[in-house]
Amino acid sequence: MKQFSGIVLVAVLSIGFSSFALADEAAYKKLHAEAVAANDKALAAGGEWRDARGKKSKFIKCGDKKMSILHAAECYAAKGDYDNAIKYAEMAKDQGEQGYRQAMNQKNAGPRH
Amino acid sequence: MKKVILIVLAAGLSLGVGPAFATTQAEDIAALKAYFAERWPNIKDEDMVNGAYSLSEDKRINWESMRDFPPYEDHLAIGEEIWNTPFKNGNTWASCFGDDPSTIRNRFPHWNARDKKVETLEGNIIQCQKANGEEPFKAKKGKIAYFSAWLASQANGQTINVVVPQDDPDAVAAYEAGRQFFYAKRGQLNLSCADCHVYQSGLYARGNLLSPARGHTTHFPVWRGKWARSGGDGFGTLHRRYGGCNSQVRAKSFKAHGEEYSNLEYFHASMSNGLTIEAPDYRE
Repeated sequence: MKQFSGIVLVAVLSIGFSSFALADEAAYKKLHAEAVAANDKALAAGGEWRDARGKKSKFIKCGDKKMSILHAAECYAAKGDYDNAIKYAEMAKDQGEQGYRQAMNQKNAGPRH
Repeated sequence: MKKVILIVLAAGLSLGVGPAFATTQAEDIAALKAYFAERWPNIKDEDMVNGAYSLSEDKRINWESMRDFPPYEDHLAIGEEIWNTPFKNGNTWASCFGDDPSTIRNRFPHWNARDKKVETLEGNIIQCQKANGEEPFKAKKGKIAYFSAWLASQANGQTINVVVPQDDPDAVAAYEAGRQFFYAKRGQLNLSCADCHVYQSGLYARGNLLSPARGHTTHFPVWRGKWARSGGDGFGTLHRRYGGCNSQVRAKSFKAHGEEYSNLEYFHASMSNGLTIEAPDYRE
């Protein structure tokens, strides 16, 4: 009986953990898509920032390498570290949104002297 | 009566809150010159070609000692060799630019009314190579900088006069796009070209004395100590510098000789109208 209960407990826990992991993966994928869209919008307005997804950026470390924020999100997701993947996907999305807002605010920039 | 008041009010408001870009090239140059004249009453306008070295005696002494034995002489010799080497098809650079190398540098940047775009010297060097079936130089450093620097050296002492044809709305739009770029804050640091090189010029950003925008384009391509220390040969074009500046404020940089930087150069070079070409030169 004890053995049976143990097996049931392990099964329930593993289902629980895997559903959490699936939920994290889904949340990451959603944020990643939103980050890409936000930065595409900023790029189209001429206001994308350097570190959101720049190929030469060395802003965030993942493993031994430094890379852009979105690339770091992808790197952590590939390792199954969805806490960091989500954190950096959110950060990249935020940079895209701020870059777009900045470009819109500066559309009529001119001298103030 | 109410109607008249409303019309007058609307006219007044539209004058008061009109777009920041409703000025001409001549007005922009005059305003920038006046701003710097007030900021540094003891510095003559013609000394603006020396950039930050007009603002600091210590920096000036170092710069003058570098100029005694310029680190870029060998690169200029390569530039001259490039001018004298015909293309594989037998044509020479003169087929694109004319026979006299001293007349080339000062024709750029200019407005190409047929193609409705700003043309830059380095952009046209690449275009000339492509038209003659040659492999083009890399856009920002290396041979393009040596060649452009040698062409600039042939034009030393000539007065810059970038023309924006006021009767061509496309040319005016390109100039205004360049001005908007210059004054627009960008990147995570939220800084514009003007923040450093107009409003904060003469102050320090870390160890660097910020140079005034007037005179900037007179000495490009430049040999920079920073570029030499980063493993290169030190030489770079104006668009290399634009990319570096954008990256420093954490903005994504634009393609060299693309529309954004060419328009920026059109405005930026205009702001040095009346000054003389002094190129290439050493910068920190």
